[in-house]
Amino acid sequence: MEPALRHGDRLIHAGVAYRTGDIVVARDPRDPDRWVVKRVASLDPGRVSLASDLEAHETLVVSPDAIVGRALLRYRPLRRFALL
Amino acid sequence: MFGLGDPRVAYAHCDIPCGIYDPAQARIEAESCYKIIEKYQASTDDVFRQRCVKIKEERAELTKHHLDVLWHDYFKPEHLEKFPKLHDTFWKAAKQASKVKQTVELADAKKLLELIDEIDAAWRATDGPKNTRLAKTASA
Repeated sequence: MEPALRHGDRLIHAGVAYRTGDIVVARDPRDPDRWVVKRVASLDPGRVSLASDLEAHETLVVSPDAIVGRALLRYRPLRRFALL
Repeated sequence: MFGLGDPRVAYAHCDIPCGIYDPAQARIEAESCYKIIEKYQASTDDVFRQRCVKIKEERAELTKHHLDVLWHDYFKPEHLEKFPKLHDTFWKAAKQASKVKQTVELADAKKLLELIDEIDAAWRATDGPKNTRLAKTASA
């Protein structure tokens, strides 16, 4: 997800509305205990496509129920503090 | 209304597990550690001994990596029900791999092999050889 997110960044997310282009946290459909953070690539009835900003990484299609929340704020490291 | 939950890790990359697992990967690296320690102890050449230490540290780190992959990706909660000591065995094995990385004692490397063999027994008892390896192709 670079440059928007780097390994180890701390985020705050909330269960608010999201749209295409937003960064969201979602449950990995193959392992619900695992969370992923990706950008919403497209929204269709019953399915949300999540993509990485780096093309090398695969797109993941999840049910809207799998979306945990929208990433709102990157608060650490402090020098990268930003609203998302 | 907003509430704060416990912090969680979210991954940016989707893992694509290949589904191939075998404790033999960890064992081969641990066997390397064992043999390198033997060679280290048999040598009086400081340069050779330094190389032995360097290679042993790399192999021990690889052992830990392969153990971690097995632990996190192969073994599932239902396996834990069958082998309640599994987490403890993996924890001990990872600790032992760290010890082998730090020392040049054959006994430490031997203990690591024994722990890997315990994990191997659990992998076999959970049909690992059938489910997580490809069958060998017949030789021409």
